[in-house]
Amino acid sequence: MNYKKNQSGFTLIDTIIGIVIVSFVLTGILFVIIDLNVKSVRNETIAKGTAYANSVMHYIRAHKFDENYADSGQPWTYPLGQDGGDFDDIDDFIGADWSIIPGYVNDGYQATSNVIYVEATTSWLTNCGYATDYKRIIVTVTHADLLNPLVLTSLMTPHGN
Amino acid sequence: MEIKLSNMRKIVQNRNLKGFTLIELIVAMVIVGVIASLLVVFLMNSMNAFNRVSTRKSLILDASSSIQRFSREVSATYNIVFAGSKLFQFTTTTFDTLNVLEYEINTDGTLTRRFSGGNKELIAQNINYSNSNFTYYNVNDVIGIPIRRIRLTLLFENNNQSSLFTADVSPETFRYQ
Repeated sequence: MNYKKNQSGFTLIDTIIGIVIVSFVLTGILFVIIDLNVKSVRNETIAKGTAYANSVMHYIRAHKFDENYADSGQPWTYPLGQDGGDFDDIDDFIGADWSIIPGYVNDGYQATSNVIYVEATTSWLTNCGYATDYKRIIVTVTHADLLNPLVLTSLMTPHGN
Repeated sequence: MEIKLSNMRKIVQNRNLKGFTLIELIVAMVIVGVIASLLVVFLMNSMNAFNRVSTRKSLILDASSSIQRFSREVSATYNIVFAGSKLFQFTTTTFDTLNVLEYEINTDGTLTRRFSGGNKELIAQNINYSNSNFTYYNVNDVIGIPIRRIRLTLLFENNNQSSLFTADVSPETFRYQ
């Protein structure tokens, strides 16, 4: 009868081919799990970097809008930047060294800060090139494991200082 | 076509239906055992990776939520009541001097928050007590008074994994001169 012909079961070759296929599938699964591991590291890098950027932002915002604020008032300093070697207003932190907040630099984080004058004509975003009542603070944290830098920004005015 | 009972018995006896011998069973068990142990070795890495990932995830979640809460509340500090390495007590307005907020690192490895003498609220756990603390910096960025900046350092530890988190808070009421 016909059905009896092909009833010899798996040969050794069949079994070996089967094992090879299964091992390929298992390797694929392993790669997925390894990728999960990398993603988790990225989450941690973002969490830590955000804490770092937040600390830097706090630090800058605890300073005066402008060094002329308590004295003669306006005109505000122009151009912005570190002046006099002291940190008495927010724009003194342009290009400042943020290694004073430890626990991050050794982990490969790099924080930079910038302060620019903005107003309505520049959509409150880009440097308008002259003194206004609005300064934008930009804190950027970078790390080799981050695809994009972490950026925090906030606007500051002399009012309510 | 009819089959008699006697013929049927013959058919059954002629076939090779004796069942497994002890030797065959043992050989099969050994083979299965070898394959299973190879599989365990192969899967062990993945299982460890999974454990590591889930431990790490909960650790990071604890760390970021506690730091977020701490920095939000402490940034509104108006008056410092007590500033110790494991305990920070403060109030947040000029007129309310009664309702003290406090953050404390406890010996059981937890970070707790307490408002106005109420119950301690668990903020984070799995903290290494001796390596976690509050530090206070003055206007010259040196440890000392008057306090301008409050630093919370937390070393999280769980299942042989650790992660150090640091957050600096400079309350806006303590404006630098």
